[in-house]
Amino acid sequence: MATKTDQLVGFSILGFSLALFTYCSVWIIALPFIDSDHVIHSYFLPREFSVLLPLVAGLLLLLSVGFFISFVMWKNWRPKKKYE
Amino acid sequence: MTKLMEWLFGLTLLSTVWLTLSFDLLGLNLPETYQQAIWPFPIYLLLIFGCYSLATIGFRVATFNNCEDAARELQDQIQEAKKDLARRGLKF
Amino acid sequence: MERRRRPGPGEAGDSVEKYSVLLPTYNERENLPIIVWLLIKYLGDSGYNYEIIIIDDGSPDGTLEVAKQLQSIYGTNKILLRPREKKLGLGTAYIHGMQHATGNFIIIMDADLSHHPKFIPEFIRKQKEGNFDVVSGTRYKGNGGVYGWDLKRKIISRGANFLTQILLRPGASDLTGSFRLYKKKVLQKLVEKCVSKGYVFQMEMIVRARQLNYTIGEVPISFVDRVYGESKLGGSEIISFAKGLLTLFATT
Repeated sequence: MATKTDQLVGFSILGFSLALFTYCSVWIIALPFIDSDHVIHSYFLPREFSVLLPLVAGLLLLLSVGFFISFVMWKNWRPKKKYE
Repeated sequence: MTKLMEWLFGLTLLSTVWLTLSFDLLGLNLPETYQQAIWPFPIYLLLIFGCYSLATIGFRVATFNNCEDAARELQDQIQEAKKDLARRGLKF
Repeated sequence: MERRRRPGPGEAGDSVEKYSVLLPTYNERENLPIIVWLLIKYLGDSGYNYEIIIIDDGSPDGTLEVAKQLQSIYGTNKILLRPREKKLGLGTAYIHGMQHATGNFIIIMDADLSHHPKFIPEFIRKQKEGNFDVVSGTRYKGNGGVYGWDLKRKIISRGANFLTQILLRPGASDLTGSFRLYKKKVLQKLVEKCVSKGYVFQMEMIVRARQLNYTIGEVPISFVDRVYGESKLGGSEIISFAKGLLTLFATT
């Protein structure tokens, strides 16, 4: 059995990703086939954002990874004390 | 074939299909609604992959066994071992 | 009707298996006696033929001293010492240890008590079950698990493992684990072929094993991390892991 914290965090991440998946699937795949005067469209942003938002999120992710790598490499600039 | 090459091959295949359908290279003239659903597909696939990764990792963290019994057993056995070894003449 | 008796320790025979446990050590003065005691207990009770090979890399804390004492307690046919002058890396430690191993099976494990010898008889059973070339202990399947890791460590661990599964599709659930049983010839072949270090070395062993069509079995194990307060998983470990993973991805 996992600890309570692990379960809480793990299942939250799981729940969040399922919600995100559902939202995006409806947005991208289902909406084009639903009449434009149906009320469901008011819950979703204009279609262009369905590509823009993920792209921006992806770029931010890449930037963070880049920063992480640069930061770690900068920290290790000092000569290593232990041999590996 | 290396794993990298397998991935590149798969991605090339998917890209070709998407490009053909999106830019109507075969002159298929799909209805507008289908075209609307198809053009964001690469992003959608990335999103699916992202969500799948998060879901799997989340689930695996939530079900990551915490071996309390093993830790306790180890502690007991360490004590037992120390006593037995001291008896056999080990100088710690 | 003749009843076959499983050969006991020390009995000679054509098809008797012998298991050599390789213990690379560095500053394990406290843990070494315990792990040897546990090995003797579980392997002794099992009736299998075995030996323990301690490969100390010039530990400054006197690990070799303790090893010599253990040798005088348990005998030089059960405990072999193959020390080295300085810390030279795991791959070469295995090669060095194997050179005088008289077993036809090699068990590799950590000497810091994170791996528990009670699983070794299970490894052996699993190996016999399917005549596996490699049996790998896994923390991620069945009732395998971990103790002493915080949430952050667990997330990173699962994340890294997920990435390796997606990219390498290795057919084994725990690639970075180092508690394994190998047929001696298989281990010799694999160590020859592997070029990486650290976590990635263990990963590469499994990947190469798949490449060479060796069979791999798995046994769930519990991993008890007692190195409190020391940050073993820093940024540079993560980066070198990623580099190693990408290299394996692009070259195998």
